[in-house]
Amino acid sequence: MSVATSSSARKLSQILISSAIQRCRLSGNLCRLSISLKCFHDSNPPCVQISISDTGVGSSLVEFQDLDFQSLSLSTDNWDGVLSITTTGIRDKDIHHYYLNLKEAISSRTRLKNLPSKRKTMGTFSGTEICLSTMEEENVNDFIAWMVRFIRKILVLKTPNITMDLLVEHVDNFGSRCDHILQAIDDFDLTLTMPTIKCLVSGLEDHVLKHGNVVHKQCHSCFANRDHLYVGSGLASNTDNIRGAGQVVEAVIVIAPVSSQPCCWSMNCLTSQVMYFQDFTSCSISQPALHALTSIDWQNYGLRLRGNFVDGDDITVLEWEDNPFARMDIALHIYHKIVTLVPSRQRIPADRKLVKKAVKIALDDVKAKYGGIFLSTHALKIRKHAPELSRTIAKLITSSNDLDFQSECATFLGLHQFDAGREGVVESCIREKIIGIIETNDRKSKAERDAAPSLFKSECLCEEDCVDEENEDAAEDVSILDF
Amino acid sequence: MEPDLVKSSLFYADQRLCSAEILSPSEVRARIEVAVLNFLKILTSPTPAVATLPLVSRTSDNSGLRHGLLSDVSSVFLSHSICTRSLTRANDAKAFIRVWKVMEICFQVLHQGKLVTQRELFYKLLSDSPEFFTSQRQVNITVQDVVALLRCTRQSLGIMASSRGAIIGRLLLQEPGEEIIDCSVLGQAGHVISGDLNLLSKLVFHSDARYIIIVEKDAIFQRLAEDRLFNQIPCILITAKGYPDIATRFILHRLNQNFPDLPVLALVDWNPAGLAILCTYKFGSITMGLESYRYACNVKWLGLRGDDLQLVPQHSLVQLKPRDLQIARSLMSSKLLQETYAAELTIMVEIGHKVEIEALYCHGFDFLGKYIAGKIVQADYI
Repeated sequence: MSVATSSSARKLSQILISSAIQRCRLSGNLCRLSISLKCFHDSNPPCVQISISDTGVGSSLVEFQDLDFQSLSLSTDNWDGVLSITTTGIRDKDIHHYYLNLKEAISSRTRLKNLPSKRKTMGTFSGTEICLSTMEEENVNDFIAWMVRFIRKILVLKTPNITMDLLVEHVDNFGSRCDHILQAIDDFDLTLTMPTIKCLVSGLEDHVLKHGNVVHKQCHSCFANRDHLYVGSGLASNTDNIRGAGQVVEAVIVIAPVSSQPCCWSMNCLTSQVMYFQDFTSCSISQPALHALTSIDWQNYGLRLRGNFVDGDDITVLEWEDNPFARMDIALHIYHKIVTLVPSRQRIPADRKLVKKAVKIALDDVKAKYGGIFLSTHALKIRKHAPELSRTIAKLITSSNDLDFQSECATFLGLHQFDAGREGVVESCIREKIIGIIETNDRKSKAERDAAPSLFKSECLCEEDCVDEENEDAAEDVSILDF
Repeated sequence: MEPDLVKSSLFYADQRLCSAEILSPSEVRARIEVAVLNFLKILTSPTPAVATLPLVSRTSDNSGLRHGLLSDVSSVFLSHSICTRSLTRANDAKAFIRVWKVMEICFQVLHQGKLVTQRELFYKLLSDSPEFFTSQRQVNITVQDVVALLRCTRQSLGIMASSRGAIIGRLLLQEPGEEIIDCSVLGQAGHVISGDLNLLSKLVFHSDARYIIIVEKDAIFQRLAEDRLFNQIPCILITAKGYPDIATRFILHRLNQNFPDLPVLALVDWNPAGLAILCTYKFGSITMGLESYRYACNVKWLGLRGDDLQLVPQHSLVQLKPRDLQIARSLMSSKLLQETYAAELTIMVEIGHKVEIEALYCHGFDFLGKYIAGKIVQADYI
């Protein structure tokens, strides 16, 4: 992680946006989350006023109670440590205003300063606005770019009841100008009642079609539309009766198949991005979740994991030895069933088994929906031999001078009688069927796979698998160790 | 009552026995066609699958010793345990496909009315499917798999044995319609035994020999041939130049059938491998157990034996190698070794040494003939 990523402004922004999201979720209504950055360029270093406001439930400040400089490893330079908090609940008559000084110890009585509240004069509303001013960021544009990327990541979730926007204002000696960097999402096909996993699917598809949000609109040279993508999803949950808050893990996999006109994004890519979300906000992957991913038996899906690393955007990247498709991207979202506003350190860590289960369900979902995808390494090996086997049997059929026999074979294969003698036709028909069986079998359990019928019925009940003697030391003709 | 009891016992023993039939080319082609039809039927059934291949198991667990009741011939036989080859099982896919590939070549060969050797088969398969066939041994194993699948003899598949064996001595051979071959006037290499079992089955024999002597090694065979042993002792000498192949065993069996009063004696090195060779002539083998039981003969062990150690100089004893011990262990653990043979093997292992027949040459090159004659006269064979 670069030094800049760990700046107080960025850390705090993440925390404040996260709590804003929880407040929006708690409200159950359509909410707006606005982030505005006012950059004063005439000071050196430049000063940035960050304001995060939401129309969720009012804040009782509990989500800030364990925030302090020490616990967050915040730097004390270039920032006074003060958060200006304005908040009101839907039933509140007043709008409350506080200053919270994070430089003060948690137990200190001077940490929170109550300011005079204002009466609500019009309307029934709730919401919170948190402001801070910092001179930490030497390169404002870097900070803005980071903020844009961070919010774009959150937008992959497509949480239907929260719209987000980012407004940047630049003030210098010549005046000020405003940029609306991100506007509210314009996806009208999402409804408030759509399950979160479906929203995540849609979001990840968009992300892939827009080349990881690098381009503004989807790239038409790769795929005409999202129907060309292979998508799978998996959900796993548990109920934690003790604390009354169960955990849900949603996993989504989007695969871009090799395209006939690949562009740089969709060329055979040996890496996969893992977009990681916890409680409806983006963050770096937790250790249990990473462990869950690396401990999956990827060979069951025909993949070999080489390693993993974290890129400059704090996104975990999985590296593969080889990859039969253009790209594979994964999104993981872990959240608690019941929304609460708790201090961040009380959050329950991700359940490794649950993550593994959800990812496997997603992988199996892809495997079941799209034939031939994610064939296990074992099945891929056997499938390679299918053409030879088909050719051999086709030769047996077409080289026979027994027309009745050829005719019977044609009937079994559903071919016209006159095709029975054409080796190419017979071979491809048999090959198709064998490959179909290999692919179907790959989705079955081992026991089901091993129950294939025997070529000839035998009277004997004692059947075993043949042992292959690869031992080259044995005598050439007949083994002298017969006895 | 007795004959019925005997018959029913034979019948019981034979029920356990699994056999490869001697079939005509058209019968074998018909079996292969049935195999293909069954394969397609299962491939296109409502629950499609790639059928597994049921092969008669060629392991000692599936073997037994069958004692002749009316004769003194015992043989190794295979029973009905099956081992399966499957496309979808790890590491078996190639072996599975190899069976089909050999079946396909046999189908062609039979159609053309030809006979090919295993060597020729190997080269054909190597050029057609190098990914699947990398050694002669693999081809031989696959051929036995096909025998075990279709339950027909190797020769019925159009594959003939190699012609390794040779025969010489007081024997007149005649192929139908051909000239008579007098094996007593041939050069020391003797008459080469054909690999074509069909041809061998049609040979007509005439002989005034009193013994049939199996010789393990070619060098000894040639020495005895050059010395014209068969003129001193009226006999027929036969060798497979090492481990007995089916053709040599077949002709031996036929001679035994034609001349049942002639004792069949074996001259092998005094080592576990020599005894294993003797046992193969005597009982057959497991690897080719589906057909080799037919050619078992009552072979007696003439020499070299433990008693003959006094005849050889000390320095001719050679230490047993690990492979010798492996063979000895394998023989000891088998069900067919009679006590006298087991005793010989035990001495070999105890003294940890072996001796070759050539050790007798210390007494002169003509000693071997005298040695054999002496043993025969004293009926010193087990």
